[in-house]
Amino acid sequence: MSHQEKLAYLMIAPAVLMLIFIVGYPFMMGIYLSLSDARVGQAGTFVGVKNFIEVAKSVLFQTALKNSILYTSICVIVKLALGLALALILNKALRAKKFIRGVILLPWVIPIVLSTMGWKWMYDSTYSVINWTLCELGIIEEKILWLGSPSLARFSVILVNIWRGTPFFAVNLLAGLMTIPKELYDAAKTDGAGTFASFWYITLPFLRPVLAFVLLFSTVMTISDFTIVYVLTQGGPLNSTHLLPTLAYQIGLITGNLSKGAAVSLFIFPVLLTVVYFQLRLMRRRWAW
Amino acid sequence: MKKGEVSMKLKRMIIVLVMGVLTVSFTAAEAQAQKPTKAEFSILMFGSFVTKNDEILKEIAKEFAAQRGAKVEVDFVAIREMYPKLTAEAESKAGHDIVGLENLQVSVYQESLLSINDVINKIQKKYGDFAAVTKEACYRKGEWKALPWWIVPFNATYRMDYFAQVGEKPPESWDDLMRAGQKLKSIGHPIGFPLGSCGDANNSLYQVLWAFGAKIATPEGVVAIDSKETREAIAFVKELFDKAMTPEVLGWADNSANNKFLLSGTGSWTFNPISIWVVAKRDLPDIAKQLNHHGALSGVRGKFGSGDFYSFGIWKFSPNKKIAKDFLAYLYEKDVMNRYLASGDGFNLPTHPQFYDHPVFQDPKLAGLKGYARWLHLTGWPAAPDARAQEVYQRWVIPNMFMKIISGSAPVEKAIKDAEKELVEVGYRAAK
Repeated sequence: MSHQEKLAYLMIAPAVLMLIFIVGYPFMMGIYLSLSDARVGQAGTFVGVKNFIEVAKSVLFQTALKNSILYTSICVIVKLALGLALALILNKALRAKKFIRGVILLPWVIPIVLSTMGWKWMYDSTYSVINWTLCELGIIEEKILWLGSPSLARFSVILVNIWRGTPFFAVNLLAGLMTIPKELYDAAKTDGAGTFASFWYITLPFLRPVLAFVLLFSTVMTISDFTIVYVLTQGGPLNSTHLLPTLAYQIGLITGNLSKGAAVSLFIFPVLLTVVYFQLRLMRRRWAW
Repeated sequence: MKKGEVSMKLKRMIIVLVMGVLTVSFTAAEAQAQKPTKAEFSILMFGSFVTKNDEILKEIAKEFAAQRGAKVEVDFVAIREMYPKLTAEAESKAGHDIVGLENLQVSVYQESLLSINDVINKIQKKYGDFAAVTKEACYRKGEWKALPWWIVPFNATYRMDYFAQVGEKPPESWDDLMRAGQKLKSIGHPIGFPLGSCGDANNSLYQVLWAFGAKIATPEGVVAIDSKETREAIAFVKELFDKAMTPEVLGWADNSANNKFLLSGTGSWTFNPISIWVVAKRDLPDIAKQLNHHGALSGVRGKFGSGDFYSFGIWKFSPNKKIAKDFLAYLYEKDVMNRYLASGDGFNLPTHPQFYDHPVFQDPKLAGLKGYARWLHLTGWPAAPDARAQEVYQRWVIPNMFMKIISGSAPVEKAIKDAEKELVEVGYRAAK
């Protein structure tokens, strides 16, 4: 090994050590806990996959899993569509473009607890500003209980996630759009290609690497979302907004059943790992350029 | 300079730097170790709704520490943050010496809590026995695992003017509430208590269950929710919702919703500690004048109350056990307890009959709360106050059961069966 290689390893050693202690150790600890019957203050004994089997049979877990899949699918698809639309608009010549680009980032930049608390007030059963506005406009006569019914609560929670996450898509896709050579669009126009054809044959192929990255990142972040549900509904009403992270928190930290909590939080890991693996392979093979 | 010389110089620099850091750290640690040590202890407590409580606790701790020539640190965190904080301390066996505990947290952390039989015996020798409910909260396997500290009762808060308008006195029974509630709803001021996923819903609904003789499980741990008594309690709440409550209760997703309901001027009655009145006195004095409180309601099986129970425990791994125990005993010195109760303005109720007649409860608006501890049970009762009961509380099993029926999401039989299933999942034995 050359001196430069040795120095390189020395330089990245602190980052690797940090990853091992902050990510690797808790992860291995989680696996250990999930294979034991540990409770808070009690070490527990090895029980194999018993926790995973019991958790899988639990109605509450099945509900949280369905909710997580539904929540992630809807949020990611809608954020993608809205983010792409926003990016396409922002890529055009607009007045105060820089200002608008800065403002659209605000939902993503504001601390999540703060912004979710704002939404909680807007959804309040007594003082909702949304209800007040709709009442004043004569659109509704009775208050809408935004967090009061399972379907409305799901909608409300999904809306907050979309509001918060769309700027992330928009900004990344905008960066991707700005790298597409303008001459391609000019050439396409000369050849008689319309807006849709330009989008399908030029914009989308060039955006694929960025799209793949953003989708991957957003899927992982959305499926592990905790704060929005914790602040707005704590999983209610009737467990309709319970996600795997909120369930893991409830079981592991609130009731002290560390082993089951760890099992819940690890359940989605193999699924995510598979998604990440195939997506990264696809990105490397088909879209590397 | 040649390439080899550069890398040798760099190596030497790195080695000198690392040695320097190690030397300085070692020297500082030695100097610290050689300093004469003062006795010390630390307290982790959740922030009280009444901020003066926290100030007085800090004052009391500092006074005690000064008397002993000791050092004390008192830290406050939001109550929701207590769970992860306590778990982290229990698992890492490091942190504070004395920790504040809520409700059945004593059961969750009981293996990590020190037995304080000697402290309790000292207090009981002086004043007599604690209220019966303290054993539910703090006594495990023959040992007192925490010091009973105070209760936040789930009494009722109501509007005197609205009740007078419909010619009703404050209710003493659930039947009184049904009758008065219908009249109040007819004048546009319905009653309400939460049914959703929040602590207030648990505290409200368990009172109804007990009043009808219903329970989640027997003391032996057999599921008992599927019973005639449960059906009677459900039928009562359904009728109360239809005839007397605001439909908004279905959207009350947290513990502040019923407070806002009364503070808005719309609501006429709810289950809640005196926090509504405390806020009204500060921000809405006209509403505060009309608010009053009454104690538990009686039902066919008796009078039952609920509330949140707060205690202090000492970690087994604390290196300062003696002084921590002495501090807990100190909290029950008459003048110390009296000062603490006075700072709460009636928000904190004592857990020992010795202090039931504290001057703060002479306020006519708090008369209904005096001695509330005698009606009180922890949620889960009469099942054992263990981690299963805590899980039932946190999974909102009872609020969900009622919510399904009242919102029309499920018929009564299915809702009860679902609750039964969850109770078995949590660890209770299925009924044969």
